[in-house]
Amino acid sequence: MSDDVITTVTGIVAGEFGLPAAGISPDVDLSSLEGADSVKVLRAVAKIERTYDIELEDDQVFGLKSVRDAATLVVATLAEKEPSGGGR
Amino acid sequence: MAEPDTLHAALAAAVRRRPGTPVTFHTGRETLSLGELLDQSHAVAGALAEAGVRRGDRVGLLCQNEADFFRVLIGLGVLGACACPFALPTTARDGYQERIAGIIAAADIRTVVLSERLARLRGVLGSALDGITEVSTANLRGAHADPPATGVTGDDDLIVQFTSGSTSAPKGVRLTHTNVLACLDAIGGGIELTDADSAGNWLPLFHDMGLFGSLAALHHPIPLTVWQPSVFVKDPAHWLRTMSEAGITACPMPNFAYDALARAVPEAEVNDYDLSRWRVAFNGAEPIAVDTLEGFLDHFAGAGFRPESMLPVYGLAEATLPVTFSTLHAPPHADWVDRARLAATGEAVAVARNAPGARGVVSVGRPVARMTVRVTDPDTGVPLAERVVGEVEIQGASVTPGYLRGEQPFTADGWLRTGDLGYLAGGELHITGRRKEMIIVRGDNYYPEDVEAAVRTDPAVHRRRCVAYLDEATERMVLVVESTAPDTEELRARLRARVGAATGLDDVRVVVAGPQAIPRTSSGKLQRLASRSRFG
Repeated sequence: MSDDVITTVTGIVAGEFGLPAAGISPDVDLSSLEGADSVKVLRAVAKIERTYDIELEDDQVFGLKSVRDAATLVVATLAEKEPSGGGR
Repeated sequence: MAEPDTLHAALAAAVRRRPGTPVTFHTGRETLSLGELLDQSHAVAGALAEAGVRRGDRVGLLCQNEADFFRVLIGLGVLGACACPFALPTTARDGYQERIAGIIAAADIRTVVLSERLARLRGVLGSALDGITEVSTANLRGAHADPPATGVTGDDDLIVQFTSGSTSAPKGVRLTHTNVLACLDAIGGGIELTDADSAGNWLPLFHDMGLFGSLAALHHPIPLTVWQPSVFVKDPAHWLRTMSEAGITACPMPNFAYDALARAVPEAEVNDYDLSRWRVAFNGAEPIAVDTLEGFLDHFAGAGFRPESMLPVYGLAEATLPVTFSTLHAPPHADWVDRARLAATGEAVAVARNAPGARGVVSVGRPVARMTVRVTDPDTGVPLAERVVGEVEIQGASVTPGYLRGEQPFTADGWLRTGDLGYLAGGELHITGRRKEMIIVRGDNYYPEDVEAAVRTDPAVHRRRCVAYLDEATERMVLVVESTAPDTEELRARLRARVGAATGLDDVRVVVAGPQAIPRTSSGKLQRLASRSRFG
């Protein structure tokens, strides 16, 4: 998928956590990042929502572990919003 | 007529006074009257009885900030059963399952009620619910037989709060119907609630301030609006606009949230807000910083927020919630003391605010109704004079009868030891720190034992030698490990990740030291306090 989405989400997470994006690999456990807490995670989610104009449910966020998980959720949510090819 | 001694009887009395009082849940955009909420709670009690729940049972409760949280809690109370609210996870970290499994074992829980809105959470729970009867809130609706009469009294446990204690030994704070009603009376009386008030809450309902702040509104009753925590955290400015337009007059928040609001609303936009109706801004559940208080008051003066609306408070799960409230109708105030003498001798010596080394300690006021507070020497238990720091001890109608199991928190003469350190000045309580080595980060408690257990078996840790402690200056947990491996950022990151995964505590400073670096007692036991002075 979606290297662009991964890059964008990594940038958002880096910005909210105050860390260099280069140090955040797509599969690193978000909760292991220096200075991570629940408030920063939610702020990053809010910024992702604004960036892609989507809404993520709290219980979807509970299931996220990494940037890749978040990017996958973004792509799935966008696909639901605007069905591409074939539609429903 | 006798005073009601159960939560459901007290709410029935509230319904008789003002049956149409609205209760609004932002999630699902649901508004119902208090009368409807209570009727539905009785129906839920019938359904829970059909599912096998009996008087004296402890039932796990996993819900968001939604009407079902109250329906199930009240319904369990009707049956004389007891709700054990579970905290929700933030992300899918590994430690969550273990925490839930620990609580289920500690409370001997056989039934868990799971919100139908949280179906996706099932995966995160993994095997934690193995062998447990799961009941979805979707199956508690509709027509059910009336709940059986159980003869429940004020002495029955209504809630067990699991907000304190380590993962390995979670502490279940027992709260009876009588405790809870005393708490709700103390809150309502303490802030002089009237029918003109309206309450708002975005704190999680599994958290004591969120739960009992909300129940105090239902108990009076006054209109209540409940949001998800994420609504506040994602966009504090939008939330502030919504709550002010809704005419909320009373709302509880911790220190960090007042900071977040001041940051979220730019100076130029402050005048667009009308905060003049916000009469009681509870500030509790976290250490209260003088600069946060003053920053908020300055920032929102232009929006009509009155300094006397800010109400620093002190409470804890063992007191159901409230212990002291600062003075209503007066601005908050800080006591300025000599920082060095406070740390060295425990004396709170008043100094000028601009004196070098002055530390501001925010007053949390006087005991609420039917609560008494004393400050004692933590070693001898002897009550101390004013302006001497000791352990805060409490007695009162809302104080827990005890933990479910394990060591009890009481002195021989029946006072509850809070584990918090503070002093009295002019009869007002000032909290200075914690005697226990527990650390509180955004309302969650963490223990050094859990941090150490998370890394002890890591191959890089030499002979399982490690020690964790709280750095009080930064309110941060420090983990020191002995290792023969070189000190690299990679190693520190790995250890930090293990701690985060096991405990949920992410902001840990990791120090990698050589073998034998951690101070020991003569018997070889690693010393936390001595480590603190060696490693900072």
